[in-house]
Amino acid sequence: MKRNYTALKVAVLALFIVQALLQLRIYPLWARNYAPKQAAPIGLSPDQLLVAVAGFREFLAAILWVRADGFFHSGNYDAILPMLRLVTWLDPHNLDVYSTGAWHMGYNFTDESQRSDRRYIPLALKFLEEGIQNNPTVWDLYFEMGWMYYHKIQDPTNAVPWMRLANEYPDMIPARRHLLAHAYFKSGRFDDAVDWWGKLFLDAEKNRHKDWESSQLYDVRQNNLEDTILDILRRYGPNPETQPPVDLDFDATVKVIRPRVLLVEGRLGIPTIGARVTVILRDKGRTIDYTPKALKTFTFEVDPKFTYMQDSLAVRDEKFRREIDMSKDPKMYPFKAPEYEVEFIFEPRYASPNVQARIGSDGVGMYDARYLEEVREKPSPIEVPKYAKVSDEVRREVENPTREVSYWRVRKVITLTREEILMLGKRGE
Amino acid sequence: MNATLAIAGATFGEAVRKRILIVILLIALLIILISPAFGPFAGGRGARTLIISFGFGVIQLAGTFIAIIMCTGLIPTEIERRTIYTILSKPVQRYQFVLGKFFGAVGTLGFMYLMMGIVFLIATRLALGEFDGRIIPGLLMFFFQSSLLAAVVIFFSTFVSPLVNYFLSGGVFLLGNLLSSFLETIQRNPEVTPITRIPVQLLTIILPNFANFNVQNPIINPEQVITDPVAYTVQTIAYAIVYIVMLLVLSMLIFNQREM
Repeated sequence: MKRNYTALKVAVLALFIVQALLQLRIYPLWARNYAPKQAAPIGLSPDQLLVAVAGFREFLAAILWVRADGFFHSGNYDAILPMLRLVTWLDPHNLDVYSTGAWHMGYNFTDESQRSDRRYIPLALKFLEEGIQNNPTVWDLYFEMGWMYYHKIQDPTNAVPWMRLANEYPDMIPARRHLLAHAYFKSGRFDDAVDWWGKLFLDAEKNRHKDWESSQLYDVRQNNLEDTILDILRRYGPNPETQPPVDLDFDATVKVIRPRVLLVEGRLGIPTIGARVTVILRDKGRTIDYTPKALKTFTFEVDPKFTYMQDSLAVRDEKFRREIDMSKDPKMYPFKAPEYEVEFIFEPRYASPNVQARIGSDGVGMYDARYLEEVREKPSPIEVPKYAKVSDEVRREVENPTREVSYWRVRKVITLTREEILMLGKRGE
Repeated sequence: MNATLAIAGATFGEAVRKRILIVILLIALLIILISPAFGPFAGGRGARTLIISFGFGVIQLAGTFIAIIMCTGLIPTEIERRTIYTILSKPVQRYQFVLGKFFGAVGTLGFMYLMMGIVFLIATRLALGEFDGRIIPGLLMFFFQSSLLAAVVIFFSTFVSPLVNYFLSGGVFLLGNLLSSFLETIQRNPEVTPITRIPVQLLTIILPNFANFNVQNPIINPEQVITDPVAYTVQTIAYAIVYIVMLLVLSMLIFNQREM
């Protein structure tokens, strides 16, 4: 009888070792596919934590997300941010939360004049990066990241690698594949834009008779391919329409008319409508780093002492003028630094097609004696998640970008002091 | 074997007649049935998330309660009522008694999961307009999770009182559900030292890991691409079986040495 017990004890030990080995094999798969992945459930009340632990994680996440939507519709934007953290902790695979949350941070924090608080954009990028790390096998968030660069930041150079990654996924929505070609074109990679439209066109040709949608897709791609080739020929081919260059005779001035209220005006010699000049006011020597790596860890806090205002001014009759009122949003424009730079930029990459037809989308057809400068840039390297389903070629390309692009722009910088902007000593503040 | 099956059959028959278990089952079924009412709270994919996650949550919770409440009293009640003497006076070994009790409990759990699963599938079909077969593997994993929990409860019931067993088993279930998440969190934090990490790693190996069976997330978010789902399912089920066998052997060892 005693011997049997010994055998059973040995069996228990053996079973313990087997289960431990199995657990060691299961854990990496679990961590990859099912782990919550976020740090700690800070912010969950004890009852919410209990509900989450009791097996209702995703349910609680969905309920909180519905609540966050309620906050959005009532304009209580600040309340949404901590909800995003909770929801993604409870359900890190809810793509809607990442895409909508990043959109919310990138677009919806605005001042009284609907100018975005661009200090939130790096947060949005970091949030999307976290979503991508948690969902590396899905195309959606790569696309969202690319869209954020393409549309909000207006940086097609950095939009390209994210779009490249999204396009690696066969289930990507067909029409969204077009954005890579647009990004190529805007960033000055005309050869890649034509190649990509050509590839998309050939893909669409295979199914053009399948249904109405496929036929539409074929037509759109054919038109875009033809337009792209024609645009390139007209602007850069023999007898280009972009030559001789237009003399922009660019200039800009800024005047403080009331405390925190600027009058900006200037001239841009574009002989057609549709040009816009970007004006940026920021702490001197400081700017926003639009890369996900700009933040070490994700946070909902922006630097409350950092002032950054960006606006876009329409040019009419070769002139632009606007009163920029920053007095109603002290939280967004704290004016804590001693000096500020007001930057006026005109660059043609996002100008209207008729403007680009005359000066090119890279500015080869424009000239300015004082403020013209050439920008040469490469995309920032991307750390592609280990389990992303992308080819080695694309992985290498986005992790170590080598292709440099360039474009021309005009840029003028004016420095103002805090005293000048706040009119200290004149009206007192 | 016949003795084991006879005890299992008796345990099953007794368990499905227990009012508390029937009440838990009926409440769970009712809640699952009304879960489509959550749909209008969130449109489109949000509705799907709410309904499926809620259903899974209810089933897991009900399964946990049923496993703990049913198994806590399986052996102590027989001792308390002294019916165990009648059973053991017949040609029934103690190990057969423990095994029979366990198989009876697993049979009851299987029956309850089948009921809840059918209602859940009907409710999701009515609410979402489609039959989602991916729910079935999720239910299967929860069934193994509850079976493992039942083995834990039976193991404890061989040497602690039912009241202590409730808390002990509940605690082990809670820990076993959280340890992997906790380990994942500290592994991602570069500031955590090995002094903190190693004990947590050891605990995840020693304690039954109930989090392994929580695979509902990719079912709720179907866009997810899961790496090696078959390998994961097979290994997790194998893990459950090995752990259950280990606990049953330990239970038999303890029960054999117990004086009655």
